Amino acid sequence: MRSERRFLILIIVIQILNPPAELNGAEILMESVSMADGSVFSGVVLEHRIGEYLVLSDHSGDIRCLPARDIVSIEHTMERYSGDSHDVFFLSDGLILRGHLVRYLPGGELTLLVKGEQMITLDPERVIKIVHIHMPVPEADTPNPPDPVLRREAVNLQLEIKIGEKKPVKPKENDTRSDIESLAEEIEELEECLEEAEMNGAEIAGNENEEYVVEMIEGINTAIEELTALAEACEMTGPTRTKGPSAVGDPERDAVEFLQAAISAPSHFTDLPLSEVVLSVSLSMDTLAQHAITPAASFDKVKIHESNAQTTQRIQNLLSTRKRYGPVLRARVGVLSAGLPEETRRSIYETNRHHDALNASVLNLIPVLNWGSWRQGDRAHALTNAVTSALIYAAAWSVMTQYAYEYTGALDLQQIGEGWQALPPSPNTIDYGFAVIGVTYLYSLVRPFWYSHRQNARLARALNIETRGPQW
Amino acid sequence: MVKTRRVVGYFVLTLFSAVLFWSCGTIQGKGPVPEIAAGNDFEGTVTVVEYRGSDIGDPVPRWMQNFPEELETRDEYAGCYVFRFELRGVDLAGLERSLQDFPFSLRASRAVHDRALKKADQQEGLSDGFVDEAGRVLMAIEYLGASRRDDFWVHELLVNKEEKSKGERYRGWVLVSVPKEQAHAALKLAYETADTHQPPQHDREARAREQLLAKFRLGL
Repeated sequence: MRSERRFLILIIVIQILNPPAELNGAEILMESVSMADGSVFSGVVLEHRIGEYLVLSDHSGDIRCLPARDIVSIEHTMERYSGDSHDVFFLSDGLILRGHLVRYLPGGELTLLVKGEQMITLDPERVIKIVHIHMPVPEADTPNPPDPVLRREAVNLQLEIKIGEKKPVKPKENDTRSDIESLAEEIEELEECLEEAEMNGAEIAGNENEEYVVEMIEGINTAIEELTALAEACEMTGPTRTKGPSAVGDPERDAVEFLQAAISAPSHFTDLPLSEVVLSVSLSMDTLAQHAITPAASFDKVKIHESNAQTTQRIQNLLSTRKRYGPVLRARVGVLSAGLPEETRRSIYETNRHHDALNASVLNLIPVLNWGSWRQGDRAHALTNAVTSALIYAAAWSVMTQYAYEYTGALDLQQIGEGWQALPPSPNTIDYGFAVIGVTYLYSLVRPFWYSHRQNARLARALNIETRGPQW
Repeated sequence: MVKTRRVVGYFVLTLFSAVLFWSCGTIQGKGPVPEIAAGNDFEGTVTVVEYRGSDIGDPVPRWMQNFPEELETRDEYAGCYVFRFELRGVDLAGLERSLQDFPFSLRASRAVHDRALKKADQQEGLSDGFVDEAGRVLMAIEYLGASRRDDFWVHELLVNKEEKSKGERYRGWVLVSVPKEQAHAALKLAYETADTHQPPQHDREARAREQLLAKFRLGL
């Protein structure tokens, strides 16, 4: 209810800055709303929450809020509309459609026309909200066209206020301003914006409709009161959210990105529809309200937590791409992790320690390659062992093929007295070669465990945590 | 004894040689993981001389080392379709501005549309009218949950030895995700709308549509 009232107030503010279409003569799509008591209202539907209410701006610019339960049907009555006028349909499953409402029958169907002249029929229960977006086209003979500079400034100011608060950027380390202070500043800026709007509205009041403007000014005052209350609520509780990537589907993040897209894209920047601004600001204000009622937490703790999270992320970045923890890396990790709590340091250790000793050992069963050691990051060993083994194999192969027929093993005959006696085989070059191969092969199976233990012990020392027993 | 050792020696050497050749073949087949898994249309040598964060020693983000389809299997992006959009610029300031202003919501709609139509094209028996209408609906849908995850840029040095030319360019990428459930809801809406407005003319087309719907239920 509170957000709806705020929404209406902001519609009024925007109306001051930009009078209704009828006043400046732009062509727009008009809708005819038939009520249960037989009355029919024509005008522009600014917002429609299915099953709740409908906000209609009629020919004279008056804004009416009609209860949804009394609406019998809505149909668009004229085919005259400019390209900048359309409705935004928010569906319950997270989809957004832009187009024009063609027909709406409560309890029946809702038909809309989207770009490409495509008709889509929806179940009205699927539609959460319909917002009308209109960007009037100034014409040469338009009396009192809205000042584009003033309007753009106002639009930018409002958007920047919200984006400045919620933009997901990394906070500067030296930035000591609290969120409460920045929020208060933003509210002050918004109040200025509202005052400006009020002054602008007073000018219109002189020319057009005094009652209309009095209503607007009341709305503005209510908005200021609400914002002040919001600021007080923030001071009472303090913010608890930490900055950083949010979960998918986070409405706060979505709202912020919606605003960012609206303000950042050049086409949006120049042709920013006012109702879209209203929607965006409304969303952001809802977000602020949620922000204000979040359970209390110490702001200092939040800051420390944020700083620790950043440091942890930096250490993770350092360690995640390296399998061998060299002295420079260890020194840097040691410095960075000095201020972290032990639990966090242990968590970093457990995340980055080598667990792959057994896998590497199994892969090392393939002779010569030392594939497991290579994958483990023990590349010096893998290369040395592979080259040595390959050389020995090659040498053994060439000797064997060259002297295979002459090779008599190690048998030798020795004359003892008058007879000859066969001696037991004695080691020769090839035997030594096979022995070296055997030893290196067995060593390559053990090496991954030793390597894991060594690297893990080094990492533990760098992170200043105690470990016991073999670390693989 | 001697003969036995000789036979064993031959056998072991033959076995090791076979394993060696097989292993080499396996390594060659897999190939190294590219540092940046993204296309490159320059015929010549492309060297990355700088990238975002290289001055402070940050690594290339993991999402740049995998193709988007691979990213979708990771826990980080579970439940989302992931799209990576490439931008180019002649200078860093311009590219960073383009990355910042990237209309990810609209581009996500187009990406879902393209991916869905690619799947529809593989299905035989669908009428053009049905596919066109479903495509139009998909193009008109935006996603509240579309999220800009990250962006990244590289500064590349281009050397073409044949033409003896040198140059440089900046390439940037934006990573955008769309919740799967929202994409599936959009597919369902597009399918239902097209199916209502373009009823199947014969049984074969009806079957083809059912098959397409079954494929869509499994995902894009």
